[in-house]
This record gives sequence, structure tokens and C-alpha cells, in this order.
Amino acid sequence: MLRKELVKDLLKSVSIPALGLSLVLGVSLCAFAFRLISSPDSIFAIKGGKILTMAGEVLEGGTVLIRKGKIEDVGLEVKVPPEAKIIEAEGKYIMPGIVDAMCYFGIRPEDRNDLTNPVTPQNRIIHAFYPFRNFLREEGGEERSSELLSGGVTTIYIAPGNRQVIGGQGAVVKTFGERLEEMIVRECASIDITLGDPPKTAFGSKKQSPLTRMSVASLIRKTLISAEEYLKKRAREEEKKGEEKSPPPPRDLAMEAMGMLLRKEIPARVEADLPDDIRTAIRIAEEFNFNLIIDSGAGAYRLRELLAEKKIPVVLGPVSHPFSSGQSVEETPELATLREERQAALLQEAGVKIALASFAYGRGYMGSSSQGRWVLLEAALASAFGLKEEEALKAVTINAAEILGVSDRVGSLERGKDADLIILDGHPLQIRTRVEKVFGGGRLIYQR
Amino acid sequence: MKKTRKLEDKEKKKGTLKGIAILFVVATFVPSLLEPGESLLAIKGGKILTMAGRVYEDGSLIIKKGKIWKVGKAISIPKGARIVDAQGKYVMPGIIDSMCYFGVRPFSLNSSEPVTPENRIVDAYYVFGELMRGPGGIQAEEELLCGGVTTVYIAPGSAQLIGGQGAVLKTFGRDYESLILRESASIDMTLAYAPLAESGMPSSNPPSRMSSMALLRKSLLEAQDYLKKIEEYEKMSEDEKKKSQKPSRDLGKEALASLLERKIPARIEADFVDDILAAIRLADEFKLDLVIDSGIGAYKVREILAKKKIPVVLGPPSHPIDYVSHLNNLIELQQLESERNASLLLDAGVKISISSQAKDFGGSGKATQGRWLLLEAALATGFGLSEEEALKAVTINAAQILGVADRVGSLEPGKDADVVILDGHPLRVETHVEKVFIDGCLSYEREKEE
Repeated sequence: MLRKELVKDLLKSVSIPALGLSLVLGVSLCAFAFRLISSPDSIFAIKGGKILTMAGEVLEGGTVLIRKGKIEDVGLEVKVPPEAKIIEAEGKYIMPGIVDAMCYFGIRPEDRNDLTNPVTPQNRIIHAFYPFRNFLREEGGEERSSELLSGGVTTIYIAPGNRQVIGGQGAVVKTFGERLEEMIVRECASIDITLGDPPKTAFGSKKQSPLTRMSVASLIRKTLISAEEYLKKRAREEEKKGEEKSPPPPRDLAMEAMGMLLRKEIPARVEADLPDDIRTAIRIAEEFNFNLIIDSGAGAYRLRELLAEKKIPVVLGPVSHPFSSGQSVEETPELATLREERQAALLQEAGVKIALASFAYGRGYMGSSSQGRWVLLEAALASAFGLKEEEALKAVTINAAEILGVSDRVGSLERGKDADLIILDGHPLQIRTRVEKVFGGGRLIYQR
Repeated sequence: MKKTRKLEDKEKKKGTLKGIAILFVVATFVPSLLEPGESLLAIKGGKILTMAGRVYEDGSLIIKKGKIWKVGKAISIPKGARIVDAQGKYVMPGIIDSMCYFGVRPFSLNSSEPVTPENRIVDAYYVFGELMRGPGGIQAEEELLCGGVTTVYIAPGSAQLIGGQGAVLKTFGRDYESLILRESASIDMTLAYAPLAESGMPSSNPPSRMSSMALLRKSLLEAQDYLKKIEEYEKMSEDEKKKSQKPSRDLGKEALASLLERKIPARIEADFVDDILAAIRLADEFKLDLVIDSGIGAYKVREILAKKKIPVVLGPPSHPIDYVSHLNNLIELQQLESERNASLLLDAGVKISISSQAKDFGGSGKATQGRWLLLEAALATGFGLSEEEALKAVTINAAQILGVADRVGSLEPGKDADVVILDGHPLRVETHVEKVFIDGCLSYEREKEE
């Protein structure tokens, strides 16, 4: 109400020509800034291509019908309404938008870690997410990165850096959208935790705790125990009735965040490469009964039976650069012996659900490893090292979506899901294949 | 050595009856590692991409004393030659990475002074121990060898104006000295944002591009004077020499003098068009042989580069930026055209090579790991480069730019027997390097998957 009145006041005070001018300006600015090639209400029928639905079916010469940002139908015989815009895709491949299950896209380097405190579960990465301008190619406005879109990436998981023990809450976002709010798929998608050397060196170099793996683990346990007590205390207060009720204990954002983990509303994403660190993660997850996902996992293949048995998924770093955790080989020589090129295949064959992620920081030098746009190429590499092609594609689409808890919206081409899909000029795992078009939320958002 | 032993073990398994034969094989093969001079090897039956213009289907390659002796289609295999069956395989020269920092500790890359031409990277090359993942000693660097990389150019980092002298080395050898192809292969310079004082680099660095260029010119002028003084002294008669004092040696000026004498080229890292043009201006003024490194914006001045015959050593197409400070400023990269940098340069007639610019492997390393260089070349074919040119960019062209084409880069009689055998076309993702020979020695063999 208040806002409406404000606007009215504002309108009264502005002359009509000025308003008209600013409207024209505004509209043209918007059109320029967003550079959206189509409106959200457009109906598209993508016809004639080879559709990899990633839901089990491959449809040669099928049709995908998009309406109001959602996939209305997909199949070999789809009724196309006359008002639909037809996109001819004969000879092309059509698949869901790529899901990068771990990257730091859109996060300024200095915003990744709060090195004054090893434990900050209350921090949300979404508050540091700035995918605009400098991170882009200076195209202005709020257009998302053509860099990522050129690789077909439409959904990403972003999280705090790996220098803290508990960095905070990761988020799942889209790589396009007119406003930040539109981009968010899950604001709090996980609690991001790091074991092993990165936090140890970050704080140890300042002669601060945690200096050892033991203190890293006990710090996590201590935090979880406090969270358990916090939850109990608040529950007790809520049980009390009437006059017994005392003012509720003050809210504690950190404890609330850890509480989500304990209530299994979100999983813990624990970055761990060495088998001993992975075992520590499993031990703590069992003690406190929370859902666990292993990140990076360069040595996870060694524990593949255990991970399969406990149904713990692994988000692997890029095949070309498996040590995504920033542990240099010089620092940890044992890492060097851990690298198994076939790790993705070994894990998958043992029954572990895997996603292949870029772990990209941005572009170029600072991006340790691969640039976000080459996720498909990393999947191709994994298949060169024994992973079945279908599994490689699942690892960057539906499996990634399931691990991120967003498979109700993205990850496959099925009725009712978000219309995020890509059209490629060849098989997605061939090196010379290029993404030709990207549809995001039912709009054509990238065209080569 | 480890791999070779495995090979022996395999052969031993064949049975005791063949004992004598094994003894013979071991006797000829093990010394072949230590003294390549003794070996006679025939790689038979593969598709040979010589990179010297010819492709032999079902060809043969004969290696003698660590050198390529014969290569062709119907050549007779000499008696006593150890035969490597390459039926259905691809055979090509070892891959050459024309720019990487492999084997150099990160903190050994840059000095605190902006101009140190006397520094030689070869003195910081440490390929053993932890950096080599092995227990020390002369062991092949599998990380690079499994990508087929047999020769690398390494150089000082890019935080200085003149970092020092780059070197060309092999990735495997019987001892340290045998690794070295060219100890002093170039003077490595950087013209960019990185060496400027404002970018957080040592404050002794000049604060602007203008002052950078002035400092470079000053250094070269001093080297000219130095060279003149030396030449004057050398021209003197013995009597005169006795009377006058011999000019004292100055290592830095000496290094720059070899640049002025065109014994070695200047490798100037420059991405922005203005930096590239400044490099060209410098080379013109002092008549230097120039090679542009990285060159993200080089396609914009391709006609000039072609006309002046200046080659460009490109970075990896997947990660064209070498340092993050570029990100906000480099308009050259922000255009789709830049993806086709390699093919645009080549079509204009510029000689190019594609390099990894890798700092080491994995996590802390930049972008591409050295081993994926072939993949980077393959990537360039997706942006308009022909397959042949992509392969040349990581073999013969790279060798020519590095000034070592008389030894490596193609499979031709007389050249070093640096040979890679692959299980498929070198530019496919699914292809793996199966065997690598350096100086005729089997230095890497891919383990068979069960």
C-alpha cells in the first residue's frame, strides 16, 4: 500500500512528457540490457532433432513443445498448436541444459572465504552472488554469462570457498534471468564443509585453530552438538504453554543453519579428496544422522563400495584437473598417487551416483581447473576414461540435478519441468560440437 | 625405467624356454635406455603422420642410435631390429609444448627486479622428486608423457619486463644434460598489465606502459654499447689488447647482446593490440627476431604479423587468459572472433603454435595441464583450424618457432627419435597415447585396462 501511494505521489510530481520520455528510455534500456530474444509467453516447438531426454528415452526426430517457460510435451508425436514458433532442429541434438554441480561462478574471489572464523554456517553464498558486468563480457544489464551459456550450462551450484571448515550455505541458481530472484532455484541448498588441507593451511598458517585434521573434525562435531542443543531448547520453549512461556531464546543464525542439516532439510556437501578425509565425513554424518554428499573426491574411487553401500553421492572435480580442492601436488604428494583417470567409471560401476562438475572459479588463470563452459568436454573426457556415454551425460544433467535436489525442475526433458534446453550441432560428447541455441525458462537466451 | 622393467616382466612371463631370447631382448633394450646409440627399433604398420607433409598408411619407421633412420611405406626392416607393432595405430612426432612452466617451482618464476636478462630458467628446472611424482632420479614425467609431450619450452614468469632466458627441454632423458635441447633459447619478456607496479607486482616495476617501454629500450641501448665495446676490444691487435683493459663481463648485457646478434629471439608476452604493436616497434628499432606469446588480440593485427613474419605462440583455446587482471579490460577477448584467433592468424599467413601455458598440474595449476595439449589443438579445430594445421601447431611449427626443428617436430631421417603411438586419431577426445619414445627410448607406456 505504502509503495502504491509513493508511486502515485511520484507520478503527480512528474510531467507527462518527462514520463513518456523516461518510459521510452526505460523500455529501450530494458530491451538493450536484457537482450532477450523472445518473450516468456512464446510457444516454441522444436522439431526434427535427436532428443536426449535424459529420462531414459532418446527420440529420433521428436518434438519438444515449450509453453510459458515449461515443457508442455515431448515425444515423437506432439500436437503443435498453430501459434507456436517452429524451430527446425533436423540433424541437431537436443538435450536438457547442463547442470554444473559445483562452481564459483559470479563470486568475487575475496568473497569466497571469511578467514576470521573457520565456522560460519550462517553465511549464504547467494548474498555474494554477482553474475553481472565484470564477470561477464561487459554486455551490461543483467544478462547472464554468454561464457557459460556457450557451453550449454543453464543451472549451477555455487558455494563458499574451501578455506573454511564450515563456509556456509550453497545455492542452486540458473545462469539466466532478468532479476536475481528469478535466477534462484534453491537459496539454501546445502551446508558447505571442507575437510583436509585447505582449511588446515588457511588457519594453520596464522597459527590459529584448526591446525590439524583432528581439530577440523572436532570443530565440526562441536558445532553440530551445539546445534542439536539449540534445536532442543527451542522445541522445549515451544512446548511450554501459557504463563510458563518465557521469552524465546534469541535466534542464532548459525545454529538455525546447522539445524536444517540435522533435520535433513538440506544435505552437507563435504569437500574431501583423500580417503581418510572421506571416511571422517562419513563417520560424522553417521554420528549426527545427516545427508552427505562428497565433493571433489579425487580418492573416492578407493572407497567406492562403502560409498555405494551408504548411498553417498560424489560430485567429482573435472576429469582433466582432478585436484580441484586447490591442494597442490607439491604440498600433498600422496594426492599424486591418488589420481585415477577412471575414477568416474569406477565409482559409477560400483553403484555410486556421480555428478561431474567444473569447480571453476571463473575464467583463465584464477580458475584452477576448467572454465565453466567446458563441462560437456569434461564429461567427454570421462567417457574416454571408461564412463559410458549415457552415464557421462547423466552426470552433467539429471544426476547433478538429483544431487542438488532440483530434479523436479531441471535435469531432463519431461513434461512440467522448466524449459531449459540446448540445441547442439552434433553429438554432445564430440570435441567439435558447438552449442547452437540455449532455451532458458522457455526463452531463447543464447544463439551462436 | 619403471615402465621398462614392467615390459621386461611381461616378457619374462612368456616362459623359460625363451630365456635366451629374453636375455637378448633385455641386453639390447636396457642398454637402449642408457645408451640409445645401440638400439635398432622398427615401428611397423601404423598410420604415420610425419608432419613433414607426408602421411604413410601402413608405414614403417626405423630408429637407429636414437635417431630416425628411415620412414616410409615399403621399407625393409633390418635384421636384429626390435619390432613395435603399430597396426591400426597412429604414429606421430612427439608433441611440443611451446610455452609452459613445467618443472619450475612457482616461487622460482619471478625475480624482484623488472629487468633480469641474465637469469636462466634452466637453472630453476627441477623435474625430479616431488615435482616428478617419483622417488627422484631421472624418471619420465608421466603427467606430460601420457599426453605425448616430449619437448617443452619453459621460461621465467610474466611478472617481470625481462624475466630472463627461456630454455627448450625434453621431458625424458638418461641424465639431466641429455634433457637440454637449447639452454638459452630466447629472452623472455612481458608487455602487459602484469609487470606494472600498480597491479600489485614489485614496486620496482615501472608504473606505466610508457615507462616499461622506455626501460626496455634503455636496456637494449646499453646492451648495444656493451656489444660495441666488446667488438672494439676483439678487433684490437695483441699489443693493443695488452695495453688496454678487457671490458668486464656483464651477464645481463651479454644475454641481451645475443638478442641483438640474433642468436636468439625475443619472446614477448603480449595480449592487447597496443602491447603487440609496441613489441613490434621495439623489434623493428633494434632489429630483433620477435615471437609473440599468448597473443589473445593478435588476430586483430594479423596482416602486420604476417607481413613481418612474426610467429605467435598462442595459449590454450579453452583458457585464453593468462592472468585474472585481464578479465575486466581485455576487449579483445570479449568478442566471439577471438575464439577463432588461431585460424584467423593462420589464414592471414602467420605461423602459429598452440601451447598449454600450464604452470603445473591439477589444483594449483593454471587452466590446462600440460598433458591436454593435443586436446587443446583439437578444440581449435572446432573454431576453424584445419586438422593438419592444428597438429602442426603442436609439432613442427612449434619446433620451428623454438629453433629446434633440426632435431624435433617431425618424423624425418636424421631427427631425434621422439615418437608417439596413439590408439586413434590424435584429435579425438577418446584417443589415448599408448607409447612414447624419446631419443629412441621407450619412456612411457599406457597400462592396459582390464
